Amino acid sequence: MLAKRIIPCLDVNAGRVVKGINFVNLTDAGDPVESASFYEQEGADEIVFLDITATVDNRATMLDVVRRTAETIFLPLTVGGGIRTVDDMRRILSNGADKVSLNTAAVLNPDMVSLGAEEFGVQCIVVAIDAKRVPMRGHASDETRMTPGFEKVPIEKVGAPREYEVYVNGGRTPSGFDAVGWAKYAVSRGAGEILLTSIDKDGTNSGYDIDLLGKITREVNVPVIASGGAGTLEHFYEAIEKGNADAVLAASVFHFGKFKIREVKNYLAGKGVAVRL
Amino acid sequence: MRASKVTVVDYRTSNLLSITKALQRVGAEVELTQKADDIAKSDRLVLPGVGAFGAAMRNIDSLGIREALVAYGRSGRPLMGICLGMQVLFSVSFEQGTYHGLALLPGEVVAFREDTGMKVPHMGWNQIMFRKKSRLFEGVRDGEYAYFVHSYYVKPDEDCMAGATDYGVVFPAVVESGNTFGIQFHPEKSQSFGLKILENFLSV
Repeated sequence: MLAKRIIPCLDVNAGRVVKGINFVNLTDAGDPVESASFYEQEGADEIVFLDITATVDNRATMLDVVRRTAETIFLPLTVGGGIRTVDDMRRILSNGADKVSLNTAAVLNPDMVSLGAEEFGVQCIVVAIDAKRVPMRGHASDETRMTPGFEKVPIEKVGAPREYEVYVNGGRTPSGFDAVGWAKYAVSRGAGEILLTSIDKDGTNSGYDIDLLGKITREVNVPVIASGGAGTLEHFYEAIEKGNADAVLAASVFHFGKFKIREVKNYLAGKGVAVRL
Repeated sequence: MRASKVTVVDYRTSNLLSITKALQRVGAEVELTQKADDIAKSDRLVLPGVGAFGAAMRNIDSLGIREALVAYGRSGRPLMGICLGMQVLFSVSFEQGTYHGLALLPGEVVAFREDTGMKVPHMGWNQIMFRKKSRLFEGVRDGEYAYFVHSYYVKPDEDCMAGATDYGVVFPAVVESGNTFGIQFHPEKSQSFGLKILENFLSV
């Protein structure tokens, strides 16, 4: 039986691990290769690196981090942040990553998803979606608005936000797109997996957004990774059982040692969830 | 430990960093090659690979190594095909057309059916259930998890299935025939279990 995956995410800035609370207030907390190695020993099923600076200067630093990690650990490695071109994807994959995660770049140009899928296979292409609940139900959906720069996404296919809106640029910029519509469209363009972060829940430790998760997992036929909000062991279980997530991702609860990954797995196994122990 | 030499065939289908590092981790001295001569001289060969079957066979042909690979496989020296490298050991694949493989093992490569309700590709950690004794399983527990990424699987004509995995359909995760082995999962991404399989291959 296919196991549910537990994935620690490491935010990396200039070659160092940090974790943003609600995407701000960064705290420096360690070497990415050592952290990845530590998580491997703890039973992580996969590692995600998110390059949160992604300035041109730091590109080479990140490639070096990816390479040294791939040389050290024998787990699937996903890298996101600042990937803009097929060449960017190739550089990351050729340095040992198994998947690349596209967020803003996919919204700016969905062809990137297709081109990456054709070149490297859909299994290499993760589309990361940062979604935020529309403040008042129906508020933004009264009329479609096209945010400048995002004309390449067909609004007639994706739709204006109904309950959740896609945000880009690290959660700062509303896209004008519906999160469920965008997820479906991204999969139709070649996304092999969706990494779904709730902006409302991220950093709150109050649980994953089960409603959002359920809406996306019902509509797409690729694996969905739940992200944002893990604070208790039960939260992981809810994301899998109620939200139907294929994998659960967390950062701070692992990074600051609130839970060991194995603790989460033992808890889930006790509840009858298939996990790799 | 004395280093075992392993020749890894680079037929331009995959990044070889991880498999090279994993083999080195378990004590192998790794040589990468694209040449028929090196394949002919090798004592232990690994055929990795990701991507499409047709493209893989085209690359094998454009490098002019098809005959060398077939001759190597028939010689009885240890050979391990990984993922797509396992699939090309078989006779024929129906991935986006009909393509002939190396035919070292009889059987065909077919797609997972989407109507089983399972997501395709089969991606993630799944269990290897022992079907028969294999030298690759020395010191390994029945039911361990390995990391898979694939949309096609092999249907062997002969009973060469050493390990099976259930994903809507029960398919061969490990095949063994003489000294020819095929593994559908990625040992280089399957943590200590994967490393143990590679280490066992070095002792074949």
